[in-house]
Amino acid sequence: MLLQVHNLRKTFPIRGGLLGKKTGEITAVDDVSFYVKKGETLGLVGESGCGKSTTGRAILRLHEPTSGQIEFEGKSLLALSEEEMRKARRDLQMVFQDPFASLNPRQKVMDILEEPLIVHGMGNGKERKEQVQELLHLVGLNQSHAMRYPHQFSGGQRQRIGIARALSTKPKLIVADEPVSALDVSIQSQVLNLMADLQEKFELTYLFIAHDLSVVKHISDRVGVMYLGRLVELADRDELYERPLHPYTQALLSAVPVPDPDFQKQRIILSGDVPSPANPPKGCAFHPRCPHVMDICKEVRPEFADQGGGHFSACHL
Amino acid sequence: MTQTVLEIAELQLHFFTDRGVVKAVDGVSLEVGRGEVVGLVGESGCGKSVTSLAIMGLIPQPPGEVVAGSIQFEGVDLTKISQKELRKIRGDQVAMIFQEPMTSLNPLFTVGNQLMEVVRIHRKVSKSEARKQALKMLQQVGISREGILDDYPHQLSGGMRQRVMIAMAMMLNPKLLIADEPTTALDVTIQAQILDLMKNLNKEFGTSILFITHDLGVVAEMCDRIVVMYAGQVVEQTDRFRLFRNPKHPYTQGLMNSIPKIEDKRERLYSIPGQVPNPHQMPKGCRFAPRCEYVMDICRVNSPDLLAVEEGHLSRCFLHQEVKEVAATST
Repeated sequence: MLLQVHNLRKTFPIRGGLLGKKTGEITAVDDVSFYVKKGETLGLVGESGCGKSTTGRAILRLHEPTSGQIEFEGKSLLALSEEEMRKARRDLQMVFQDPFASLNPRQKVMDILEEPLIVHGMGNGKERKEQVQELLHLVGLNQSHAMRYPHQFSGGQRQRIGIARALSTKPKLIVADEPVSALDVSIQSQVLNLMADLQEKFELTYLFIAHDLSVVKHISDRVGVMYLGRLVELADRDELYERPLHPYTQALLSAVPVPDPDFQKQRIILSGDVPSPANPPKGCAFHPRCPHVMDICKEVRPEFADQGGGHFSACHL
Repeated sequence: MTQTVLEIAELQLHFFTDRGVVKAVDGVSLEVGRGEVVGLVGESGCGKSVTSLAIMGLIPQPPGEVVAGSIQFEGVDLTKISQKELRKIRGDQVAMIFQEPMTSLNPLFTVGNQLMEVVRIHRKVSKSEARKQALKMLQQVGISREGILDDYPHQLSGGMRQRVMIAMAMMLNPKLLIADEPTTALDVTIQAQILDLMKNLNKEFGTSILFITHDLGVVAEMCDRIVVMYAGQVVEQTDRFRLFRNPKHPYTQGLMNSIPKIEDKRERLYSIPGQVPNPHQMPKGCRFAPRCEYVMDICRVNSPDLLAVEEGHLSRCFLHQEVKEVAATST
């Protein structure tokens, strides 16, 4: 067990009025618990605003969790001081969605990749330069790329740089937040293959956050589905995609357009929109849109429990 | 095909930039029949959006210019008529919806205001009549809430805004609806709602739709016929069944193999090597040649034409001549 998250909760204040007084609260992540085993890929899916990115960031304490427990290799990350956390991030790295916004436009690739090594005091100048070359090679770029600036690269190449940066400290866990959603399909497959190769080579563990269910299925060993800040279902990949238990997962899977005109399927079209996280519905957060809603769903929040064989679901059904 | 609503022939649209001429659309031909849904697919920068904007006369000029070719809509060449005449057609007979429903609605006016404007520009009707029509159209797109007309765009969710955009486009019952990535910014469950709505409008009103997207899944579900673009050119064109069952062009094949399919088991994804060519330095010969795994000597020298591989199935590739011969000997 590499990472364990218990009852993670993150709220953001809503401020308003002249003095910026707190007028409310958005619960972005609400009582989320899961674990990630060493060497596996856990996919987190959900629609915009479901809290999947906040969860990823909270694990690295880029957003300070409001409450809960995060254990990495048995040590509590929340007990660390800021300085200790910075050191711990050597083992926990992140790849971001937007390869345009997450690379400093005024730094050369060389400097971008060397910086984490300097921060973590790894190697001397010469060793670091060598390591940067090796990193570039690993992600399929060549040595001459080191002296260029980010704007001289295409989206796919920038994402490779982002991945190289995450790899530079030889981390154990990489949190990848929508790493391919800004890329065209032909480039997306290149990056997904690269991530799979690197995982095998360095025994990396991924927490892979995305909204694209097909991409998540492709890369993950287990998959968790989030809705309005809560995990509603989590199971082995095949189990989840073949036997989804939660009505939201069922609707989500049925909504994915399949690139095959011969493929017939029953589509569940949900009515309405995702409710505001500032004012989530009582009971089960999904009940206003659920096709199988019962009275109990409007009152009691279902527990996220193992329904057998490590298939977790939060539903009264 | 019974009747053609839109016929684009050999369209050449160039952008004249400081760094030279960019042939964003290079000899594109396509047709949309009455009541037909045609998909225009390709990756970023392939010219699919530019083509659609050209139909609407929305390409800023300069730097853009239609250098050659024609865009016939109901027998009228849209590239030849004046802005004033174009304005009469635009919004009335041809309407468009965009990817970003937030940036394409005016934040300063209410939904009702914007919907009524469409009617009042093109038809002589009273305000109250326009309001009635607006409300009716909103009901058609699945918004039945009474107060919606007085709401501002920011008060609506992404899915609702896209419904309003569709309502606005459908207000005057256009013959052709151009939809440029209408669901790309939306979540899948909302996307399913919007696609469902567009299918119904197509059936109910017989509106032809030119559906521009990069998502092959969406295309497979929505479109009767599909046009695949690469680097400013059409590389393949046929009906959806043939395109997905038997893609001919190596680029189309590569695209299809690159998408992780939800019903597939985990394996290595196919990926097309390299990147889309720089529009300032298009490769000589076939534009896909530098990335093509079947590349032959001729591909690097000559540019292939878009030819029929079989009835109703066009592909721009030198391979097919050979493929046909092999098929003839094997059967």
